[in-house]
Amino acid sequence: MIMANVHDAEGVPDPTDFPKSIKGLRALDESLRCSICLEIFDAPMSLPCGHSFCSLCIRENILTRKECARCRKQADDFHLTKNAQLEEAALNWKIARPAVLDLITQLENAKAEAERYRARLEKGKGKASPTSDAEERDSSSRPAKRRRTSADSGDDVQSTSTAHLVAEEEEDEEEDDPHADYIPSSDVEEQSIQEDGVVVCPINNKHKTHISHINAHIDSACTAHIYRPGHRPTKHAPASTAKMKPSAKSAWNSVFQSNSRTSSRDSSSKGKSSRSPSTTSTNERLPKVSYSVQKDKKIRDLLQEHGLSLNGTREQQIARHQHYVTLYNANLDRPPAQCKSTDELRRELRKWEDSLSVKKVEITDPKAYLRKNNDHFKAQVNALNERRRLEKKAANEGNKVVHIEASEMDESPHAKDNGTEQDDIVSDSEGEREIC
Amino acid sequence: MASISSRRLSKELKELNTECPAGIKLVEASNFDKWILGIEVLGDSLYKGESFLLKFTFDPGYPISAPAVQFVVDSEHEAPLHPHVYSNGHICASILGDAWSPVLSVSAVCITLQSMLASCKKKERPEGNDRYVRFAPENPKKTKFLYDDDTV
Repeated sequence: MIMANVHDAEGVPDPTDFPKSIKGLRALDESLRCSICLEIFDAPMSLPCGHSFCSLCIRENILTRKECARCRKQADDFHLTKNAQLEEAALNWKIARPAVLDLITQLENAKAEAERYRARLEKGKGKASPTSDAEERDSSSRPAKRRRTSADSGDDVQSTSTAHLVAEEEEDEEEDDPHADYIPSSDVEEQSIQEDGVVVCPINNKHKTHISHINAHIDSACTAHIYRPGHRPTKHAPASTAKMKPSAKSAWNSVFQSNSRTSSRDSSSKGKSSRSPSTTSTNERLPKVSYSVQKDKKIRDLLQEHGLSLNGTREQQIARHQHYVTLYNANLDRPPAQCKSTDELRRELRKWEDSLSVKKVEITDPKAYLRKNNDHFKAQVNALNERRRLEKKAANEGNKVVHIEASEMDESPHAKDNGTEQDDIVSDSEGEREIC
Repeated sequence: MASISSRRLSKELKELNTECPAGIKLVEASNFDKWILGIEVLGDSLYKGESFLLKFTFDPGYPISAPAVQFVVDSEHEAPLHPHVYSNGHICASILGDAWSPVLSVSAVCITLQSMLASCKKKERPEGNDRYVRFAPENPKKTKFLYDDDTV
């Protein structure tokens, strides 16, 4: 496994945190993330094409390209509209996510424990007499069967007292659906319907039968597997079930509770802002500036107005102001509770500028550095010699002159064969537009 | 908190580490400035059995600004012989220039280049390859390509 700067790669949550085996969870996590920064939406804004991004991400993108990042439809920042519903979903998912991950680890641990237990059972199985089909139908073996299902609805760990009896059955049943015990909702439902797995036959509404026998019961025209209340299974709560369930329950509770908590907080803050518009009226968006027509002094004034640094060239000042305006306007799209202060915005701006500045390569060992880059240096020297040779050759030929100007090379390399005629490099390529 | 670009790259890295698309291999990613990936074209194509190295160079503006992508050309590796790939490894593909979009990713670029190679009908260098290679800037992003072939 290749890791870039381990400290950075660690602890960055992403959709792969969720196992693929749970249908839809990974996709759900993905769909609540901005496709530009891959973070969970922060103040999501929608474009007319229906795509949403974090306010800051799409604003920055629009500064470079006036189009939707997903479908390339024309877009500008006045097209952006707040997506309040998505914002709420993202905020709640941020809270629920760790709880859901926690649940998954718990279930996985329980499953691993069950695996270990089963392995132990297999070892001891030789001594136990395997249950035959006839025995299984016999009412005396039914309690074991029932217990098995109650365990099924919670976890796979069996009580030791009946372990030998059901060892064989268990092996068959567990292959049924390896992911069944991953889905917590199913066990919650099952519990609410039946405590011990006894259901009323849906055909005649009279017979009671065990849920695991319901199909056999219906197939036999409602004659077999009729549940007799006299044979109630003895309640054997396996030790690990007792251990695991409350924590799983509390994890789910925390999901729902925190949900309701945020939504109530959300609504209260929303109500507040609508009641007192005077507090929000100061939060007006900063207008865009046409920097190219402004004098240097005006740009300095603009920076000073927001308490920003006056360092750097005119270009750097413009970039600083432009980024601040973007940060500021994006900040206004956040819900009032999450808005950052201008001080925080200025700190973010500084961080952004620091990240732009070119990192200096410190050469601690010049000899090692020389050795390491020797090939590169040699290649450059050779290229230069070759270029000189060509120049000389051209000069000797007399009528054709080759210009080599490094600064101009980027856009307009001179064609050697055409002498002084300048032409841009024309090459054929395709716009792989199907990527969007 | 790490900057946006390194956070995003670490997510991409995690995904590449967990599930790399077929035919793509992470070769080197020791920092968030430069990654090397190996690609090969799967299935029937003119490049059957060949494998190439791609060098990605990221600037702090990533993903708003496109990464600089080129094939590695050194003593062991060559750029594929393709009408859109110059012999110095520079690639003429619109998604690496004007048509870059921040929703694209390293793996999306690799897949696009894979399909660009897979759909190649004639192995040849682009027109004016020698002239370009002689005067090309080191960074392919500094070249202004004109994209005029929409067939691939």
